Amino acid sequence: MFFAIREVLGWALILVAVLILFIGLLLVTNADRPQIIEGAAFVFGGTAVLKAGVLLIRMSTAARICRLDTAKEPTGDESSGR
Amino acid sequence: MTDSKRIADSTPRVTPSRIWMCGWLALTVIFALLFVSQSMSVGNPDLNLAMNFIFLAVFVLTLRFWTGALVFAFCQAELLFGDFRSADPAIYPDGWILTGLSFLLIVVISTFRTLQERDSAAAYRLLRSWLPAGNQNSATKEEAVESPVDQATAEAGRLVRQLLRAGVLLLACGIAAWLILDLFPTRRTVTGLNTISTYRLRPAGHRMIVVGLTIFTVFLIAWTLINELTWRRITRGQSRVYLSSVMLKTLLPDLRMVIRKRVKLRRRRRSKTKLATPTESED
Repeated sequence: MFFAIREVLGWALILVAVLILFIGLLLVTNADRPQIIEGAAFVFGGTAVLKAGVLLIRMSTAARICRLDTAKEPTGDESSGR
Repeated sequence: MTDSKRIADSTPRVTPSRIWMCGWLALTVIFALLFVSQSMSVGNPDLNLAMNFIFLAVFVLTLRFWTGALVFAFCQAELLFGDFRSADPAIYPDGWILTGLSFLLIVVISTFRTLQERDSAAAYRLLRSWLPAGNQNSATKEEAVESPVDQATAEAGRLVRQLLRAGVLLLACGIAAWLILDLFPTRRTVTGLNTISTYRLRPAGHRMIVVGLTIFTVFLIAWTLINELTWRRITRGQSRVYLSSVMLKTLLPDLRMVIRKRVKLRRRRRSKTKLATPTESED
């Protein structure tokens, strides 16, 4: 359950990051009055949020894989007469 | 195992990588000189030398480790040279030559890692197979089973495949860069914006930032999606290593630093002993 929550939160963070990056791009590519500094700040902020989201997803995936394989192991131990 | 055989086994492992390394360094130096000479000879007061040097440091020197951003580098080079081409063709007639040469050098530098990793000893073996039979006393038994002609043909085929791969990479990156640049207007000042008075930037520098940020964003999103999709294929051992690494990084950064230092020292010692082994055997 916690893995799923973490993964959903990670994907939500990635979506937020994409939104921030999009806002930054809109600021930079505005033909009338491009705001380079603000756009760059948005892009770098979006990158940090993206990294956080990726970390959450990766950790949840790795933990889930470990948990799945660990759940299979005790059956082997029990059969060996522990 | 005799001494001569040991030398023969050890020599191809070391020499080609050194050759590639020297070639890569030479190309980087040529590229740097090209940038500097081009910057000096034009004599444009608006030219921002710092921009060139930052480009050189961030993109060119790291391209060996960062092949994925090749298109980005293409666009940056194109934008940096764009002003000279469009300013006055009579004064800067060789602008397109410099641009083409820069593109070629970027591609060559960026493909070095691929070539080096996949088949670094191919060129060396090819050269060795072309040598007269008297110079081939270092050949191993496995190589002696095949005839030299077959071996040379196989090596030549492999080299041609590598060159073709590099050519396809060059073409694909060039087309991608051309398409991306085609989406943006050549002259941002058409909108009436004076980039020099507003941002203390040349129009080329402004375009570089706009296109650079756009490509960076697209690259980042695509890279994230691809990485996350492939991430789900990891094994249990890999996921364990990753989790312990992340835990160490977040909870015990000092311990991680100590471990990394020790690992670096061990690697250095190993590389030193590896390099020392052939000379000892020669003695």
